[in-house]
Amino acid sequence: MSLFLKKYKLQISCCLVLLLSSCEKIIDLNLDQTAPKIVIEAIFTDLTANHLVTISFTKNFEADNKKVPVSGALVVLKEENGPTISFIEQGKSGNYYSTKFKGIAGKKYTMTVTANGKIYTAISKMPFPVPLKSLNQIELTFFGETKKLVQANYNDPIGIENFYYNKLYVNDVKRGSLYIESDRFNDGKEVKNTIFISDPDLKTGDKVKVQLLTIDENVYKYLFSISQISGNGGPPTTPANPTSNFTNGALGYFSASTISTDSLTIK
Amino acid sequence: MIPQVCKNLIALIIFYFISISFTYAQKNYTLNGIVKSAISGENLIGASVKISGPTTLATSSNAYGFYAATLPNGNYKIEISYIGYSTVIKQIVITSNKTEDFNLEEFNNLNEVVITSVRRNENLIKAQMGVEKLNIKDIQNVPVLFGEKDILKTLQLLPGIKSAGEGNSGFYVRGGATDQNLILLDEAPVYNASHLLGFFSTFNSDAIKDVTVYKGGMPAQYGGRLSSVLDVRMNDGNKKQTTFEGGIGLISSRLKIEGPFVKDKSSFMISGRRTYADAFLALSPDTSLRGNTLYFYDLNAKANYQLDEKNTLYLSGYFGRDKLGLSNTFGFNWGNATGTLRLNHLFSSRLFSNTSIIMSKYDYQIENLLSGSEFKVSSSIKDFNLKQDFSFALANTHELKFGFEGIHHTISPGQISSPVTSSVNELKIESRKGLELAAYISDSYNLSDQIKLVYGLRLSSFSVLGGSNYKTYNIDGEELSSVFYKKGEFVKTYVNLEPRISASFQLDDTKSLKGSYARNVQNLHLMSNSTATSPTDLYIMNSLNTKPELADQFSLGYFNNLKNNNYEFSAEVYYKPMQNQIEYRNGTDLRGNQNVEADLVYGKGRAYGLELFFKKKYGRFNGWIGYTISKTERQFDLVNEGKWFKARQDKPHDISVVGIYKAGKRWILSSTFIYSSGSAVTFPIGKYSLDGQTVFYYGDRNANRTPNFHRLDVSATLEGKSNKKFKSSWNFGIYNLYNRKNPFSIEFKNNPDNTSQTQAVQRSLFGVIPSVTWNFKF
Repeated sequence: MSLFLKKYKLQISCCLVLLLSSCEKIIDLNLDQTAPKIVIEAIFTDLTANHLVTISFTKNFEADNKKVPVSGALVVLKEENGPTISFIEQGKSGNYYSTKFKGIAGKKYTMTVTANGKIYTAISKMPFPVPLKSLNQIELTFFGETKKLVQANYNDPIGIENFYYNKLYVNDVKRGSLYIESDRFNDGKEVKNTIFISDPDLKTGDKVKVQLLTIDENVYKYLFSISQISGNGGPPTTPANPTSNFTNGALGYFSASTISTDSLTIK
Repeated sequence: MIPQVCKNLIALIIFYFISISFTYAQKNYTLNGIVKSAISGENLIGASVKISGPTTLATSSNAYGFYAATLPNGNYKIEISYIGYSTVIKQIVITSNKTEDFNLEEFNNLNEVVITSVRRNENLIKAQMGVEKLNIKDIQNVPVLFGEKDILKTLQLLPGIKSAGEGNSGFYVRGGATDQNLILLDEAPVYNASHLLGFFSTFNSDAIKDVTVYKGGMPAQYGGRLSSVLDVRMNDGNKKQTTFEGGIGLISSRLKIEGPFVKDKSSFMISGRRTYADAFLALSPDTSLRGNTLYFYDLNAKANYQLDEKNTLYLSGYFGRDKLGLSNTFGFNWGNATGTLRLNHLFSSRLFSNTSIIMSKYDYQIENLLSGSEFKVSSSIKDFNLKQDFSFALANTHELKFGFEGIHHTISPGQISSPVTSSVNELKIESRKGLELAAYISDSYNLSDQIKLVYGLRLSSFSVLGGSNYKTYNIDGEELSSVFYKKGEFVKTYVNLEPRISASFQLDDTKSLKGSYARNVQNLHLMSNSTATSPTDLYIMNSLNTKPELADQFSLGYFNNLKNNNYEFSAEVYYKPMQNQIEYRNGTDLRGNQNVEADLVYGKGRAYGLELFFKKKYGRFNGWIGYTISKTERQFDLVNEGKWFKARQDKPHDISVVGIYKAGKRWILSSTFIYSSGSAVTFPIGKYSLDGQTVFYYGDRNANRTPNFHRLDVSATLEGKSNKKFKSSWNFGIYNLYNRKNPFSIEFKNNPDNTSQTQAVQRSLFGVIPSVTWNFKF
C-alpha cells in the first residue's frame, strides 16, 4: 500500500524532475571493496524436479555481474522425519542439482552446505499451497501515459499468515524486480494483485508468465529487506544487509515453496 | 506524582519570587508600554529599549510589543530602536509608575538595506547566545527557489543550521535531526513544516512578522524538542487602514488583506497562497492529464481586539493542505491546522500575563482507487494545549519569566478503510494518548555592567495515558507482555528537570564572551527509515519501551564588533551528547505496522562543532559569511555492530555567503553561495546476483559521502516608481546560476545498455531555474 505511495512519489518527483531540466549522470565513486562472501541461493518446490542450489562469491562493484562459482561444496537437504537428499555439482559451475523429488507442504526442511571448510545451515518450512487462479491484463494511466499491466488473482486462505513471491517472465526472460507480497492487509480475501512492470513496458504480443511461490516469513523478510534497499519504487531506506536464514554469515536464502504458474499474451 | 511535583514547584516559584521582591522592591517605579509601528499599528517584537539616567538598563519588547522596566525616580533618556524603523529618543521623568507607548516610523527603505540586528551592539551585551532573529524584511532580498520567499530556506544560510537536502524544507540544527526542532506558529506546534514533498515551507512570508531561532541555551519557557526552537509570529494586522498586498509568480500567487475593525483598537489579517503547477495540466488536451492534481494552498488568519487598556485578545489560525492525485488511480493529501486564542492581561504595571489555548493537528489521507483493491488510509496527530506565561519586571536588574503549560496529545497512527468488494481488509492501529505538563521559571539578571545572566529551570513530565494496549519487548523485539490500560489511566510518567543558563561577560565595548548550558527533553519522536522525509513519516510518543530523548548542550562563544559596530564577528563552539535516540531495526516494514515498537532500537548520539560568522550589517552593501565545521555521530548496540557511525545529518563543512547590494535608487541586487560536504550515506562494497536480480552488499553504516554540494543564486529586485498609494516591485531570480548538478540521489543498478555491468547513477533535481515575481501593495 505505501508501496503505491512510493511508486507515485517516484512518479511525481520524476515528473517534477522532468519539468525542471533534471539530469542523471553516471558517476565514479571509487567504492571500497570487501573480501568475497559466500552467497547461497536455494529454492525448491512441491513440483517433482531436479531442484537447483547455486553457490557463488560476491564480487566488487566495478566487476561484471557474472557469477564467481563456489565449487566442491557439499549440499544436503533433510526433510523433517523424511529422507536426506544430496545435490551434485554440474561440472565446476557452482550449480548443484538434486535427484528428482518434490517437497511436501507443511514439512520442515534443513539445508546444510559445507564449503571451503565452513558449514552453513538454514531451515525453511514449506507453506500450504495457494494456487494462482488467473491472470488478466489491465491498463493504468500515469501522467498521460497508458501502461499495460498484469493483475495476478488468487484467494488468500483466511486466518493464517501467507507470504508470496511472484516470479515474472516476459517472453521467457526473467524480470529482475522482486514482487513480494504478504497478506497483512488482505487476509482471506480474493486478491487482485497489480504487478507493476516497466523498463521496458509491456507491449502487445508480449508473453507474460507469472509463477506464484509461497514462502515462509523469514524468506519474506529477507526479500523485503532487499526490495527496500534497492529502492524498488521509492526513496531508498538507509541500506543495511538483510538477515539471511543461513547461519555463519552466508548471504542468500533457502526457501521451501509451493509453486503455481499461469501465463497470458498481452493484447 | 504529578500534582505533588507541581505543588512543590509552585511553592518554589513563590518563595523565590517573594525573596527577591524583598531584596529589590524598594523605592522603584515602573515604566511600561507598547512599541508599535506608526504606520500599521502592528506591535513590534524584540524592539530594543535602552534606558539611561540614574540607572542604565537595556531590555526589549516581548512577543506582544510590551516592555516594562523598574526604575528609581529621576530623569531618563529612553531610546527605542527596531530594524527597519527610525530610532525614537525621548526624555522621561519618573516620579511614579508610568505608561509610555512608542510609535516608530518605518524608514524610507530605499536609503539602505538593513540586514539584521536591532541595536548596534545588542549581539554583544545580551546574555542569550545561540539565537538568531530574522525580521521578515531580512529575507525579502535573499534569492530563493522559484522566487518564493521562504523563511526556512533563508534560515539555512545561517551557521549551525543546515539544509536536509535540496528542495527540502527540513533542517538540521547543531547535529539534531529534522524532528528535533520545535517549530511554533503563534505558539502552536507545526508537525510538518513542508509543502509539495519538501519543496516549499508551510510559512507564507506575507503572514509572518517575526522569526526567532534558538540553536542553544534555549530559554526555559520553551521545551519539548532537543535541538532548536523556531518561534514564528504572525502579523497582527494593520490597525490604521485597510491594505492589500500580493504577488504573482511562476509557481504560486499570494494575496493578503489586513485592516482595522475599529481603528487603533482591533484589526485583522488574512493571507492566502496557492500554487498552480497543475493549472497547466488542466489546459492539456489530454483528458487523462487533466484529471491529475498537484498543488498546495495555505491560509493564515489573525484578529485581535483590545478589550481595554489592560486586556487584549488575539485569535489566530493556520490551515494548509497539499494534494496529489492521479485520476482514477490514487489520491494523497496532507496538511496542518493550528489555532491559537490568547489573552494578554496586565495585572499590574510590572506583571504581564499571556494565557493561550492552542490546538494543532496534522493529518494525511491516502486513497487507492484501483478497482478491486480500493482502500483509504488516514492518520493524524492532534494536540490541545493550555499555556500560561507571566513576565515580571522585578527590579532594574531582574526580569522574571515563569509559567506552566499542559499539552494533551493524541496520535492515531493509521486506519485503513475499504469497501466490502475490495481485496483490502479494514484495519485500525490503536491510538495513543499522552499528557505533557511543564512549569518553568527564568530570570534575566544584570549582575553588573559586564556580566549578564539568563538562568532558569524547567520541570517537565510526560504521562503515557491509557485507552489502549501497551506491550513490552525484549532486545530482539519479541513481545514480553501486553496489558490493556483503561481510558484515563496513567500507564507511566516520566519526569525531567531541565536547567538552562546563558551568561555573557563583556570584555570591553567591542568584545564579549558568552557561555551556555541547556538540557532539553523530547517526548514525541518522528520515525523515518528513508533517506528523505515523507509526509507519511510516523510520530510516536513515549511508552513503556520508548523513553524521552535527552540532550545536554554546552556552548561557548566569542563576539567582536568592529568598525563602530558595522561589522560583527562571532565564533561559537558546542558539544551536545544525546541519550535515548531511536532508530528502526534493519528491514522494518512500516506499512500499517501495529507493533512498531518491536522494531525500534535505542542508542545515543553526540554532536560537536565550531561556527564562525562574519557579517556586515549596514550600508549599501551588506551580507554575511558563515562557516561551520562539525561532527554528528550515533551509537546503537544493534546497528552497525555497535560501532559509532555518522548520523544522516553529519556534514562536516558548511559555508554560506550572502551579499546584498543597493544599486541606485530602485535596484537591489543580491546573491548567495553555499557549499557543504556531501551527506553521510552507505555505499555498496560488493554485489551478488539472486534469481537474476543484482543485489548489493553494503559496508559500514554511513561510512561514505555523496559528492559535495555547492550552488550560486542571484536575484534582482526592481522597486516600482514611488507612488503614495500603490507600491509594486519586480523580482527576477536565477537559481543555480552555473548549473551545478548537485546530487539528489545516487542509485546503484545494472547498466541498462549492458546488463552484465553495474553503475552508480546520480540524479540531480534542479539545473538553472529562472524566476520572476511581481509584488504589489496598496
